[in-house]
Amino acid sequence: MDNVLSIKDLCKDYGKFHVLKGVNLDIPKESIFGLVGRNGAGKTTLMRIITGLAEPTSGAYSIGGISSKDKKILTVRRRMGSIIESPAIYKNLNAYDNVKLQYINLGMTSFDSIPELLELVDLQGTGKKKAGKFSLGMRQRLGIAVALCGNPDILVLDEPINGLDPQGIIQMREILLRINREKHTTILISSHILEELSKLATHYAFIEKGEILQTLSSHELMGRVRKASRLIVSSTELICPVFDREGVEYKVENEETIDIFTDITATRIVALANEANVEVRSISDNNESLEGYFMNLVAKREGIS
Amino acid sequence: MSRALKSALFRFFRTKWFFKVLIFSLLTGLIIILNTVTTYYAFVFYKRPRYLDREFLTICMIGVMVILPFLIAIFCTSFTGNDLNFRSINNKVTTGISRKCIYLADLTVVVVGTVIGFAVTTGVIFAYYLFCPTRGSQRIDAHIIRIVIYVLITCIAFAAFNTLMQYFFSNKLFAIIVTLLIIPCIIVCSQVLEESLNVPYRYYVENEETGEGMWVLNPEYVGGAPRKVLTFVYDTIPFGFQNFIDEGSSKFDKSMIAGAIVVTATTAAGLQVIKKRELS
Repeated sequence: MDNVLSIKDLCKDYGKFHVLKGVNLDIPKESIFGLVGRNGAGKTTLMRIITGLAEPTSGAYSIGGISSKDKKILTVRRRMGSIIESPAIYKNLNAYDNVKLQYINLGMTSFDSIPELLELVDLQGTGKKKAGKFSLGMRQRLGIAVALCGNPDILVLDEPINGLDPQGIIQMREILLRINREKHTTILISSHILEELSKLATHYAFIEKGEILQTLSSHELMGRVRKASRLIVSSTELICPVFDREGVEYKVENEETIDIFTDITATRIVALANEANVEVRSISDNNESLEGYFMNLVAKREGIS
Repeated sequence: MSRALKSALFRFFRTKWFFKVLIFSLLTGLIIILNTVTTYYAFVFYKRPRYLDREFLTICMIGVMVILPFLIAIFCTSFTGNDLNFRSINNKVTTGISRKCIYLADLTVVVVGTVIGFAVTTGVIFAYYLFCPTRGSQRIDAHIIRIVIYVLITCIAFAAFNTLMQYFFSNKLFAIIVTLLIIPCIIVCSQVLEESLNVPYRYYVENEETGEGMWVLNPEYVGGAPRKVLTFVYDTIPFGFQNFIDEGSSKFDKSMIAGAIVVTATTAAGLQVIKKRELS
């Protein structure tokens, strides 16, 4: 798969503070690339550099094969849309004019496709209502519409679902999946809501303290996450000694819930529970989440350092 | 540059700033006329109304010079400041418009707005002067035209300075406060300079006992090189009201050159500021 965006040894310092420390990253074409990291890990700084809002201290990146050091990068940027932190929209203009302004920024002369774009983000009926009077979800969707002007090849979205209600999150997810599927747009996205990110991303990069810890595809991630069975019993206290004796790897969540990481059949679990005179109420799959995987990764790194 | 300029002009018209500038400058013109006429007719001699003469226009232009910068500051803050405040400038940068073009386009529209505002305000004043039934026989001459050009250049210089401040300070409120404080600061500075330059060179002292008098040099008189420096500064900064009255001097030319230098210097500084500025 071709890379639409490549980052090489990118560093960013603010005085003595190193925000990015030699970041290397390749974003495959038509992927939804999730950037996962804690607050202050360097996600937003990385995105700001890619979109041209900040200059790197050293290193470079290339968009569609054009290096950031090349003057042609300004032309290539027309093929990129972005939302960094919150949508950059004019609150004193309506949705149509906000999108039209972005068309003008892109040098486009035909505005026929604006209604279609507004329909894509479900803002077709907003009329003359000023963006300043929009709800947060509507502003986020307008931000997406502005970012989508000119049918960009790559979309850079920093926390696009921040502050949205559950319905807004679902709506945003559907829009992004549709854009990726129908327009073949590559999406680089960061979010604190990792569960939501896991429903979207085809690839991941884990970033911590300005360094990329790991990059992998969602298939690779599925293979690496710890598989677990969640057991709800009458008493975890009684069953634990039996599991210890049998060498079963487990983690007690509370008095009634226990996660088992050893590959063991449900029949065997029930047999062990009977032996401990414990009632089994339910057994279900509870594989390690993206959040859990990331936290383990960070914990391992901190253990090393 | 064309994309940035089209974008800025679209915003200028679509956010109705064009009409706001027209209305506010029209009102400014009327207020200045009303204020000047009131002041002017206060000088009534022998209970006869005084005919409007060229001095009326001069006083009006001083009014324009004092009031218009406040309107320019508000317009500039709303136009340029909002672009930074809404972070909508990011949309231009990310679409590959160079930062230099963004700054120059914003400056161009601010200057266009300033010129429109100035033209409307001055137009109203001149229309009143030309069609007023109590107008004197004096016509608009070269001195008045020089005053008009001088005030226009000062307003443009102020707009350029204002645009720089908007880009220099992240907070638009702080930027407008600094910009507005500049106006009274310059007025006070002009008055202080005017007073210090008007101090008499010598004064006459009479001995009470002998009744003999003599001329004594005034120790407060600023002479030599310091006087040359003060005169130069006074001649080049705006609001030197004596400048409006003195005819045929080279003071206007100096001030106009100074205004042009301010526009050039603030634009050059603004281009550096936007180039170095990290956008959030």
